[in-house]
Order: sequence, then C-alpha cells, then structure tokens
Amino acid sequence: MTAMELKGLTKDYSGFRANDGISFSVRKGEIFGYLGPNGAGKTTTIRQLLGLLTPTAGTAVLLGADIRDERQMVEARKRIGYLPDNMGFDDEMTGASILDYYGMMRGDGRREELLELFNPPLEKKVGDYSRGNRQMLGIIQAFMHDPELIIMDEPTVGLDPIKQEHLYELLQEERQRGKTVFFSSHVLNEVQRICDRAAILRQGKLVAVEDISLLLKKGGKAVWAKLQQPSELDRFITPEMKVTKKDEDSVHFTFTGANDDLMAHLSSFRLADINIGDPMLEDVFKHYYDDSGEGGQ
Amino acid sequence: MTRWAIALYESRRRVKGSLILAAAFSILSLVYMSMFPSMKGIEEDFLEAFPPAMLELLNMESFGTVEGFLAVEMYGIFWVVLLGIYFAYIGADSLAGDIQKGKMDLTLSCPVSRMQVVGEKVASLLVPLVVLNTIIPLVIYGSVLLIGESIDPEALIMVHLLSVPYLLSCLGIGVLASSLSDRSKTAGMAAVGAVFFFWLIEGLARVAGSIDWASRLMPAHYYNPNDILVHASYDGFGAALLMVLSLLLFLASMVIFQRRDI
Repeated sequence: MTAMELKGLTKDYSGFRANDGISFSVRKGEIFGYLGPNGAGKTTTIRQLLGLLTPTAGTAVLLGADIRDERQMVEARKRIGYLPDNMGFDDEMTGASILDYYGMMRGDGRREELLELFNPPLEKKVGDYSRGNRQMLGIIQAFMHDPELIIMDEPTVGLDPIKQEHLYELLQEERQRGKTVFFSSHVLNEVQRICDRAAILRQGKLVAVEDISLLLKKGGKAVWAKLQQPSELDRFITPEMKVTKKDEDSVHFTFTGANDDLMAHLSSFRLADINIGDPMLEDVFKHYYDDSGEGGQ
Repeated sequence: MTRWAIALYESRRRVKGSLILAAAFSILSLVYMSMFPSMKGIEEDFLEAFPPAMLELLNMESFGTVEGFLAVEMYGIFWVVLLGIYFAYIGADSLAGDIQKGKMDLTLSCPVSRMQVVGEKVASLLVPLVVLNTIIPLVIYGSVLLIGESIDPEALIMVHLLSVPYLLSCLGIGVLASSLSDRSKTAGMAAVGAVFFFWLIEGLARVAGSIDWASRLMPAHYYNPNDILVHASYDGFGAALLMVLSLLLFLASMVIFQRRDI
C-alpha cells in the first residue's frame, strides 16, 4: 500500500528547475526521510504535494488524491497533517486560540495528549513565543486531528534536545499505529536514526532512494585525529579512509567501515587529540553520489 | 469541507480594530459637528475663499446646512476617500499578507478550497463595514441633536446604506490586488493608489466637463453624499452597478487565486 507516490514531479521557476522529474513512493506505515542540503528543493516538493504550487510537469498522489485536483485534495487534507518550515501564526493571537482555530478546521481529538509531550505557553501571545515554542505549537496543530499522513518540513529545527527526543518518540509511536510520516531534513543523523527509508535530493534531482541500513553504512563517521608524531601520519592513513583535509600532523576523514576496526586502528597510534562525529551531508554526497546525480560506488 | 471556520476566526480578529476605527471616526465627527455652529455664520465668506472648481470637485454646495456640511466634510472626504482607502488597504492585505507570513500554507493544508478561502476572508472584512455603518450614523445623529440642529434620519441612513456598495468596490479593488501579489505592501500601495486615483479622476473629469464620460467610469461617481443628504435623491441604479462591480472584482480575485502558486 502506498501513502504517497510522486510521478516525475517537476517545478520550474523562471529559468530555474527547482525539482527535476522526481519519482518515488512512500509506503503506508513507514517513516520516510527526505534528505538534502539546504536549497536542494525539498520545500518546493513539499509545497507541491500540498497543492500550494502547481507542478510544471508530473504529479503526485497522496492518500489516493491527485495533487492537481483540488476537490480530491480538499477531501484528502482531512487526513493529512502538515508542519511547515515557517510557522505563519498570527502574532497577536494566543497559542490556545490558534489551536482552537485549527481544531475547528480539522479536528483536535488528540490535543490534550500532545500537550503533555509539548508544552508551549498557551495563554501567551504567539508573537512572544521563542522559536522552540512556535515549533511545538506547530507540531501540536499538525498531529492533533490524528492524521493518517504527516508531512513535515525540517521538524526539529529550533527544538531543544529533549523535545527533539519527544518528537522522535512520537513519530515512532505513530508508525506503530500505522500512520505514515514524511519529513524533510538536512541532518543525516536524524534521518538515519528514525527513518525506515529516505529519498536523497540534490540540486533539485533525486539522487537515490535508500533503506536506512544502507545509508548508515554510507554515512560512516567523521573523524579528526591529531598525531603526537607527525612522521607517523602517512602510516596512519589507510585506503579505507576518505580523507577530506590533511595537515602536517592531523587529518580529517570519513570512515565507513566497522566501528571496531576504527577503534583498533586509532588505539595503535599515539594521538594528541581526537574527535569522532557524524559526517556532514555534503561530504557523504561527495563520496557516494557524483554531480551527475547517478549513484556512485 | 470545513465551513465558516476561517470567516469566524478572521472576523474575531477584526472586531478590535473596527471598534478603534469607529471610535476615531466618532471623535472626528463630534469635533466637526462642534465646529458647525461657528461655520454657519461665515458660510458665504468661506465658500468665496475657494476657487469654483474646487467647490465643484468636492461637491460643496450648501455649507450652511447640517446636511451640506456633513456631505462635504464627513462623507465627501472621510467616508469616500479615507474609508475607501482603508477598505482597499485591508482588502489588499487579506491574501497577500497571509502568503507573505506563511499563514496561507497552513490555511491551505486544511480541508478548504481556495475559492472558499477568498470568500471567507472577504466575509470577515465585512466586520468593519457593519461596525462603522452602525455606530457612526448614531453618533452623527446624536451630535446633530447636541448642537441644537436637526437632520432627516432617512437621509442619514441612506447615506450610510448607499456607501456600502461603494466601499465594497474599494474592498474588491484591494482583494484583486491581493490575489495578484504575495507582498502585502505592494498590493496595498497598488490598491490604495488606485482608489485615490479613481476618486481624483472622477472629480476632475466631472469638473472638466468635456471628459465627463471618464468620471462615469469611476466607482466614486455612483456614490454622491451631497445628492443623498441635501436633495434626498438616492441613486439605486448606481448602487446596483457598484454591487455588480464588487462581485466581479471578488470573482476575478477568486479565479486568479485559484490558479496561482502560493
């Protein structure tokens, strides 16, 4: 069963192709990541899916509704929740009255339950909200009518780490309840953590649709190591490392092999300093997907 | 489909502003009415101080009566020009403002059609129209009595009633500009400019005489407070024309908004 199917979705803006023939489908009951660097065209895709932008070519079907058919979409939107990247709430209204409004538009059966996870100050005017509080209010309005399909544009931006965790848990619970989640992100790590599959977008083109297990392998770890003996550096660097930057006594590299191997290798050298973290999305792209948009390696 | 949620929510947001505007207009009309008794004696001198073309432009005819005074000062200028501009402005903000701040994205992610969004947004803009046309005639009537004068209540009611189609057409110009733009300011400047320009053309063309036809193309031509108040002559046909114009403007806005990218 598919919740969403994109068929050659294309969007041109005066001479600039923001989305170029994008096709993939999202199954019911999966968490699907839409991964790409800022400016790749993720928001353009999402805004077409909701019927805000008309595709230049191609189309998509959401919960059985063709995005180009407004009547079908009006019906389908009852079962869709949306968290935009820019929450356009009226600043002079309180959080409570904004939830009342969207509740009137779509229903708000799960409002109280969600307010236990996310607690923006409802009696305050939204104009006085912090970025995180705005985001929480947005999350509540997106979920409170218990939609079958939730579309989110960079949902964790502005959330503190605890609320991010709450959101990840909520998404996983939703999946267990058979709901479908589609969200865009430029953070590889969060997509790896909670998604089942991800589509990767680069410069408006779909680069790959991957299972997360594969993406995990491709992502690897970003390592920076500084040696006590600069003369050992050449011996330190192995063919498995994808070196991104090298100085006389230190090296930045991406390692996609087994973590144990990495640790064993590191411990066999005397290190002055070390940092192991998640690679930048652009670095992963550089290594695995060349500029032509074909999958590399 | 969810109905009337947008109209209800947006109307509620309009109440406070409408009451403030009504209070401002009330104070303004009280101030003007308090000036009337002292104007009455010097009416002739006052009229002579203006060039005749100016008098004609502003439909200044009988400054010495309450009706004539109100027709020029209160309705001819404040109602037709200022309030016309106000409705053009809020109309212009209605769609473009929401698009600009990203609110339209959320609205259109709800089970509503675009036509419905335009319709309900326009409906909510009737709040100031109703509030002003309810409170101001009462205030004017009261202040006329207060200065010891009298006015025909029917004419007073009619000058407000017949202003509705005119103000709706100004609103329509605003909403049309709004449907074409995604910046509130751009739409606002275009709509306000248009309403003021149309008003000016109407007066100038009428005064010039030779291009009288141009005056008849302008909305302000079909709402003449002087005729209503001073001569108790009501232009029902003009009002109907303005209603049709307003409906066409709203319809055009819907069609444009339906097709555009947000």
